[in-house]
Order: sequence, then C-alpha cells, then structure tokens
Amino acid sequence: MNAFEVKNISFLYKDKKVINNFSLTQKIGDVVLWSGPSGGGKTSLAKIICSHLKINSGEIKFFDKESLSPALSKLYVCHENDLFEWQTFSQHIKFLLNNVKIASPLTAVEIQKYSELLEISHLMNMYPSQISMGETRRFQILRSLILKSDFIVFDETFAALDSELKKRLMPKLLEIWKKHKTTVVIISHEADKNFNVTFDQALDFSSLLLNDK
Amino acid sequence: MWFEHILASNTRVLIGWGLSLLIGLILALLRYYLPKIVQRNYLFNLLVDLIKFPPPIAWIPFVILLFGISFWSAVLIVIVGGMPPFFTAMYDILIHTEERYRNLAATLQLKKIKSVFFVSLPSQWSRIYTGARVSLGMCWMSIVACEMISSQSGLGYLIQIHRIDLSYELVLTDILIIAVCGYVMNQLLLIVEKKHLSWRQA
Repeated sequence: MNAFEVKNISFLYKDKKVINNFSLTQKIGDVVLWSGPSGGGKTSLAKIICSHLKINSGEIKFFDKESLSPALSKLYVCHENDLFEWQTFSQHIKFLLNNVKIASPLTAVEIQKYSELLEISHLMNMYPSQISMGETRRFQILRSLILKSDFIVFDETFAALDSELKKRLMPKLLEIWKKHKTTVVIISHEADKNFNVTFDQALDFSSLLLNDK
Repeated sequence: MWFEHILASNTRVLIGWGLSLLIGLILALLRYYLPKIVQRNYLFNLLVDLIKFPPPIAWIPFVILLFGISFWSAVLIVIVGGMPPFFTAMYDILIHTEERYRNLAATLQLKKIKSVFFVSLPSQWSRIYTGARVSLGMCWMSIVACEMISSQSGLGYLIQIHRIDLSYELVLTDILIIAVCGYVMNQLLLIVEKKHLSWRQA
C-alpha cells in the first residue's frame, strides 16, 4: 500500500508553472530523502500532499483514499519557526494534549524520554524566542513525535542542526519511525546529504524535472 | 472643584473604552464568521468602511435626540469613537493569520473558534495592544468633544465654562489635566503589556 500517490499533477503559482504533469508514489513506512536546488518545487509538492495547497489538475491519493483536506495524519513540519511564541514548550505540549485528538497519546514519561533523546529536556520551560534555531528544530521534531502522524515531511528541519548532533540523532529517529511504521520525507538542499543513515530511497529533484523550464 | 469632573470624565472613558474593546472584538468575530461571499462583497465592505469615517461628534445630535443628556449617551459617544479602530485591528488579525500558524491549526484539526482564540489572536498580541491604545486615544478625543457640547460635568464641560469666563489659564490647566489622565492610562496599559508579553525580546 502507498502512503501517497500523486498522478499527473500540475500546480501553478501566480500563473507560473511550479509543477507540471508530475507523478510520484511512496510506500508506507518508507523514509525518503528529497534533495535538489531550492526553487525546484519540493516544498510545493510537500504542501500539496499535506493539503495546504490546491493543485490545478491531477490526482492525489493518501493511504489509497481521496484526501483533499488537512488532517493530523499528514504533518508538514515547516522550515519557519511555527512554535507558539506565547507558550513555553511544556505549556505547548499541554495545549496539544488537551486540544488535539491523538489516538493514543504519549505518556509524560515517554515525552520526557524523547526530549532527552533530542537533548532539549532542559529547555522545556523556555519560550521559543529564548532558544536557538537548532533547538527550535528539535522542538518541532519532538512535536511531530507527540502528534503521532502517519506521514511527516520535514522541510529543511535538519539543516539547522550541527552535523555531529545530526549524526547522533538520525539513527535513533530512524529506529523510532521504523518501529511506528511512520512514513517520512526529509527535504534537504543539495549540500546537506550527510545523515549517517541509509534511506529507503533518495530522490534528486534536479534530475526529476518537476517543470519543463 | 476639579476632582468630580476628573472622576466623571475618567469613568466615562474607562467604561466606554472597555465596551469599545468588547464590542469591537464581537463585531470582528461576527464579520469573520460571515460566509466568504459576503465578506468579499464590495457593497457590504463599502457600508462597513463608510460608517467608520464620520467623527463621533457628528452623531451627538442623534444621541441627544434618542437618549437625552445622560451618562450612557456620553458612553455611547465614546464607543462610537473608540470601537472602530479596535474592530479594524481585530478583523485584520483574524483574516491575516500567518500561513505557518494557519497550516498548523488546520493539521491539528482545531475547530474554528479554538483556532481563533488559541492561535490567531495570541499570535498577534502586540497588535491587539496597539489597537487597544489607539482606541484609548480615540475615547479621550470623543469624550472631551462630547462633554463640550452635551454634558453638565467632566473636563470638556469645564473647558466650556472656563472659556465663557475668559479664564484661558484655567482652560490650559484643563487641557493639561486631560493630557496627564490620558498619558497615565496609556502608560499603565504599556506596563501591563510588557508584563504579559514577557517572552518578547526588547
């Protein structure tokens, strides 16, 4: 079964073709790397699959079903800081657990374990404005684990982590994703390929030609 | 001699300002909840925008006609002046929630009312406070104008009395008192804002 299947999709942004007649599938549980130069349509494609953008033509299936509206099962981790600047992270977690319908939410102990794994357990009472970019990204990763989405796109999330930390974290994260059969896409710019793990598939978007410029 | 007039003006402003914020928020929410087709309707938006421009003082004849010279007619004039700027700021915040927060709220499947009160509004606290301060300034402008025309008390009324007496030094004192009252309220609001939004960097 496929996690997503896009068939002959086209997407225009202000009359400019960003994606033209493009097809792609990804199997459930696969962890895939998308690399390629910026401006190539990777982010647009990710947002289309997560239903944040509407396509102009084509077909999208998500877990073999038509799915056009956003859902908790498809999480797009954006390349901006989308943590709530008015909440500390422990307040944010409480907000998520109280207001989001997660099938079997993590226990406090599990959350603590993940935050230690991501080396941010000492920052739980900080506001987003008080922490660094790399720490912000790790909080976004922790949030993705808490939300337990079936499909997650990390848009440049790992680019801001220093390379030693990234090498340490990736094998552990991969293990968690594989255990929960999470389907993952990691978007990364060209220079940043050293993840210290083997991906199920690595797509280079510079040769895929999302659009025929 | 000044005390009762200072008290009268400040009471009107505080009550009128509080109601301005409340009504401004409610009207902004109502407008936001209208079907998209109405929100984008040119005629509807023209009506909403036109009604904001006549200054509060222009409505005084009607307010006197309907409610006479009373405490609540003065408060009504304050609301006519203080509500539109806050309403405009609130509606603007609601329709221009940042994309990153809008996408996240949609993914989290928050209900519209929750995403308004837990995401859209808190993400723009600074603008809410700015809107409230602009509204406060308008409230003071409205109450003084109103008291000069249709009131038996308050600092605006005092200016009229002193003008008739040709005591211009007292008129100047009245103006100074109004300035100090407005300034103190504004500073108090700034202190509250700074305490509340402690996460903001200087």
